[in-house]
Amino acid sequence: MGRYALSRLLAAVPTMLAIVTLAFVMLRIAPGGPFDSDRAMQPQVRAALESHYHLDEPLAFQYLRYLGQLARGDLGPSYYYRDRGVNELIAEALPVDLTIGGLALLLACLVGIPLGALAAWRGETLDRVASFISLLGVSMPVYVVAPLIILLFAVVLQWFPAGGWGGGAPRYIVLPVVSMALPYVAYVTRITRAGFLDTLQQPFIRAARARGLSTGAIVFRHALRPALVPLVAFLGPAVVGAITGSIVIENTFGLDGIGQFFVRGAFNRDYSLVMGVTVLYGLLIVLANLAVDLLQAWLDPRVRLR
Amino acid sequence: MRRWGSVLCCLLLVACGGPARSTLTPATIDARIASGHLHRHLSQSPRTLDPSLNEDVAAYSIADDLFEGLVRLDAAGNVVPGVASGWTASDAGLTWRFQLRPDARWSNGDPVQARDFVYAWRRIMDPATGSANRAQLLPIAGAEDIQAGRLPPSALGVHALDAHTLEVKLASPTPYFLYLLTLCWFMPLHEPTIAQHGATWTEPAHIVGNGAFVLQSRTASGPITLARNARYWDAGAVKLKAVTYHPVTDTAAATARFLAGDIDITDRFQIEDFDWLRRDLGPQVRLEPYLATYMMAMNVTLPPYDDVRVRQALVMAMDRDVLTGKLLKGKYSPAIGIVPPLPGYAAVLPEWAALPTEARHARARELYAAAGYSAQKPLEVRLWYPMSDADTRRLMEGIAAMWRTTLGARVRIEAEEWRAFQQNRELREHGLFYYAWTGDYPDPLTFLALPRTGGDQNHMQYSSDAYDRAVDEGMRAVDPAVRQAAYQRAERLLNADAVVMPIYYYRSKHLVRSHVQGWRESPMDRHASRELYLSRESLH
Repeated sequence: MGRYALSRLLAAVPTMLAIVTLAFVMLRIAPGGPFDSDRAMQPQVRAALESHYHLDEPLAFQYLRYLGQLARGDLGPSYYYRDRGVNELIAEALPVDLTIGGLALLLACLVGIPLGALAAWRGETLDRVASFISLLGVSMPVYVVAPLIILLFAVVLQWFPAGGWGGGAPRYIVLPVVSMALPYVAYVTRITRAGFLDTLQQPFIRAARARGLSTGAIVFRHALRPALVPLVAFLGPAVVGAITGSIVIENTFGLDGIGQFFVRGAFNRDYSLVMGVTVLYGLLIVLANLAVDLLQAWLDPRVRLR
Repeated sequence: MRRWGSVLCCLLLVACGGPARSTLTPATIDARIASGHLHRHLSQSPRTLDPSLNEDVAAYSIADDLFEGLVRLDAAGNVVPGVASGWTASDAGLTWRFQLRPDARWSNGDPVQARDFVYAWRRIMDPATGSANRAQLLPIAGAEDIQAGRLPPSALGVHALDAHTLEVKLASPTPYFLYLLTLCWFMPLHEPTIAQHGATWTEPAHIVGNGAFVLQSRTASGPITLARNARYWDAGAVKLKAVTYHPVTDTAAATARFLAGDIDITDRFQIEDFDWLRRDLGPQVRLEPYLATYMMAMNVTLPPYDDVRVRQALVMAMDRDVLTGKLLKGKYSPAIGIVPPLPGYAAVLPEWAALPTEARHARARELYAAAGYSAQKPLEVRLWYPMSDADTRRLMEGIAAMWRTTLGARVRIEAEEWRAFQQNRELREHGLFYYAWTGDYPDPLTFLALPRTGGDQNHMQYSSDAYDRAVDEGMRAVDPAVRQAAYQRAERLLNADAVVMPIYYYRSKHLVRSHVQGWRESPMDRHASRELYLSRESLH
């Protein structure tokens, strides 16, 4: 498994290089630059700034310079936030998304897996309830749910603040985590239910039942692991999506996460910030996919790593 | 980003159909007042806290708290002494001498000295600093040559005569010079701190300021917290113990946070929410005059806008009352001239302003026909604007409809992403485009300087010797009457040439909690935290 993981990581290098190159080129093609503003900048000042950030060098040089920096783990200075570096910005923002996204997914699993399993196992009434909940969760977009949650719990009841991070204090985290978790609960429930329904019809479950095993033993010892395989496949990219921030959640709750940097960085033509976030995102996707493959092999002996 | 903003607002609107929200319990209010901690909203994160590099409104308000110039603004926007305890002007307003108060201190205990101003101003003029604000210092002698690269930054007309006397030489008498001195680009800087820490000198652990507050904590786009500066020379007058600025880009989210009680002052609210906000929050909703003009402008070198008759026809066919009254719900006042109402200046209106609507439209059609356009050969107009809120889109649709119906022109509305819009405007690719300007200082010049030949903001490519002469004459005049006459002459020329089409004068929009005291109408929309305090005195 170790060798497999290593080869997968090495194979990711060209992928990452392609991502970096594509992002670099696309950013430079976009009209406007980081120093355009409402007030026209004088040529001397622009020249000084461009020379400071090496933007006056040929594009190929800039590209190689960036790759060199990247290899040293340095994402460069932000062009927009003049006194900040991209590493520093990401280091400040990532904990916010890790906390909110991580907790939201955890909550989604804690609620969604039992709900999906029960729906598959018990059928009928419970199944309908679970289906209704998941349908609601999937069809209500976050930008509707989040303001409703703010309205009810922050404005009317005033139990929680309407936004902000508050240094990660629990009362600040509750509303964004719940808002973010709702659609995930729906997905997790549906996927778990489908996984269980599929597994419970497998011959090895019928064989277990024929051997007279108890329901609990069948579910927990035999069905649970293979039934979760599809869920794990879903959770891989979902984890990356969640921890790299949801611009809707961040915007609505005034959180300072990575998602905001992605969007604002693009608007501000903050080349280095967008590049930094893109590299981070690409890296996490590669790692998450690897983790999914390893986890699937562990969960289901029929899956072989090649 | 707008979409969920408006959804949030609709929901709030529906939900707040009942009694007033945002009623903090008396106990909460008492606790807030006792804490002396004010929570303010910023519509964006400041790009930097370095006053020399500041380019955004968010950074200006923080600079007003962290630093103090020779003079400052009081709550109502009047210039009052700051670091300077007194000053004299001589040589027909060209030489100014400022006496610095000896008790003015930096937050590390060092005395604030005349050389700190010299250092800060020269630093802006140095291209290596990379400040986009060099033009702000143009009234100072030598600045123009330094900007053009003919002189070094050290040639700037500012000198420390001794530790506590600063002399400033101006290029021309500048009636708004004292106001300029309240702006962040004219604040002193602590040279040893910048020399030691370089770009990171604005970090909470490094920064040294001389304002009423000191920086306590800051993240890149998160809250910025300031605490009262015990070493501030007038610390006794500062009532707040701490101020936290919360950057919230989404205006609807900021309104929600005000309603939830998290934020005491918001930077803005959506104009379409005004009615229900006013109903629920009463006088906490503030809509106040603000020195800004919202316009459309034309590049006079590009056909068909190189024909003055076309420009005049378009200007006259626009019904500002309908645009502001119907589309903007009467919250802004229609603009006819480029200069917003300013005390001490009588604006000149174009002659068509006095015509009744029908007569004005008829005149517009005559000009349209005279320029060679008709139903068979309609004028093709492309109206460029940067994508933003629904208000702007509605306004553009309204303007296009007016030109279509009154003139029979064929109008296409073209929205561009903001950076693309800026670049294309810079590249002179737009013939007719969105144009708005917020005054830098309370003087007609801040608006009248826009269409000067070669001006930074002259996207109209307008070039008129007579206009430039009139503006220059106004700038150099010492006598206020001569000055006003020159500016009026300039305005008359601008009106006749119909280079810009003013649409409305902007207003500042704030939600200010009723236990926040000391808030006054300020035409430049600057509200330093040192003027504010928390008290129940006028709660009802």
